[in-house]
Amino acid sequence: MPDSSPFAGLLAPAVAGPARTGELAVREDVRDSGREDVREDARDGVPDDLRTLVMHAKNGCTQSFGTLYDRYVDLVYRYIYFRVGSHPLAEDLTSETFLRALRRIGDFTWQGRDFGAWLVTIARNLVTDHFKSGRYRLEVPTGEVIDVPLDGSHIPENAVVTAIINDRVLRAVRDLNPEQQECVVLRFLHGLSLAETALIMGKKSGAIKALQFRAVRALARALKHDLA
Amino acid sequence: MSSARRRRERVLEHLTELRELPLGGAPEPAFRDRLRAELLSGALAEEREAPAAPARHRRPARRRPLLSQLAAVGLAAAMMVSSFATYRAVPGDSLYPLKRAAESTLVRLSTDDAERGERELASAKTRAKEVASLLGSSTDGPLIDKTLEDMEESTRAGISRLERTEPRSPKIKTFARDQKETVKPMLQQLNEDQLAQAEGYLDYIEGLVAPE
Repeated sequence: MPDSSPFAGLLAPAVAGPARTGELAVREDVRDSGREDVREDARDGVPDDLRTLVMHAKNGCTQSFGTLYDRYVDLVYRYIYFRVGSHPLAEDLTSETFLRALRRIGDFTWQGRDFGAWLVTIARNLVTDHFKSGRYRLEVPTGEVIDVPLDGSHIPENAVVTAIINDRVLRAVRDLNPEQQECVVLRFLHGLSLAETALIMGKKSGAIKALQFRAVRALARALKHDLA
Repeated sequence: MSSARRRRERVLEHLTELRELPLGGAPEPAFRDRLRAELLSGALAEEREAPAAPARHRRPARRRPLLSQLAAVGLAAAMMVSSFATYRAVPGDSLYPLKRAAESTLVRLSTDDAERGERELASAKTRAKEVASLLGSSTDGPLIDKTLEDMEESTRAGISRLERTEPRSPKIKTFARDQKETVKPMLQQLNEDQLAQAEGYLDYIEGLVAPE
């Protein structure tokens, strides 16, 4: 296992395919050595279909923009909702995000290798404008973050135990400082890559790596008894 | 492997598990469909661009309409003109009560007795100037009487307050000298009652200046 970066596998960039919020969310585990090659292939570029879609949308194709919308609306909405904690406000800001994206798509360039990161950056700026503060806070109750139904007799006991642990982990995430909190939420809940997280947070990838390391270390300290 | 590193790895495992679980907080399908339709039809963009359209979203429009800007400028100009007119008002003018009310508020808002005394003396100086501006009009007799009374009242209140807090303040002497220079030239134009009142006032303020 790599020593200096125990989460190196988690830092791999996205590969194409529908997942939690689009191609961003699919991550390979470093221990899954059989899939290393797939990861390597995806590392160097944006999937062709996405590139084509964005190119068509930039040229004014509304259907392509619609496909991009379908792909990223959940990511954008959840990012906003987790920060504002209100569905009506999340709807307003999501509308504004896509409207701005529609107006500015002509200026879009592939910086962080993903279109979703660009949308989340717009959403982040809108949330900051709305609250007149860039301070990150996970505003929804931990129970709302993960959508796992735990009522009913068919739910196995170990699933309940896992849910309790997840809840504790999320509570510990909420106690992190704003930057660490944002980094963990973007990386592990929204499933964004290092480069995408760096683009959104306006930092370099190395800084995000260090921020994530400190966040995990702080979480390990906070969850010392829960994870024993 | 140290226990700290083991703990970090367990945290990472849990975070990775979180990533694989379905997230909550998804948008309503109705909202998702509506926004998609609006974006693709261009309706949302048009609605935002039309200034007269009712705001569907909470965020206020950044650019204020020209009409409200003009109204704000007009209102500010009107306020400036009325402030100036109020400042220049003399007894008998419609804005004069406003001037006195503002003056009185300023005196009451003073933080200490010395400051309040100085403001009362400033009011007395203003009354003297008002009397000077009223002189020469045959109809302003009662107004002159009243203004002279107010001048004396403000002077006595201000002087007693200043003498209590700053007994040897040079401000008292300066006030007496200035006020004498303003009131003395008016004497010839005052009627008998007003003259008696003004001379009594001059005697009072001359008493404030210690003999050289």
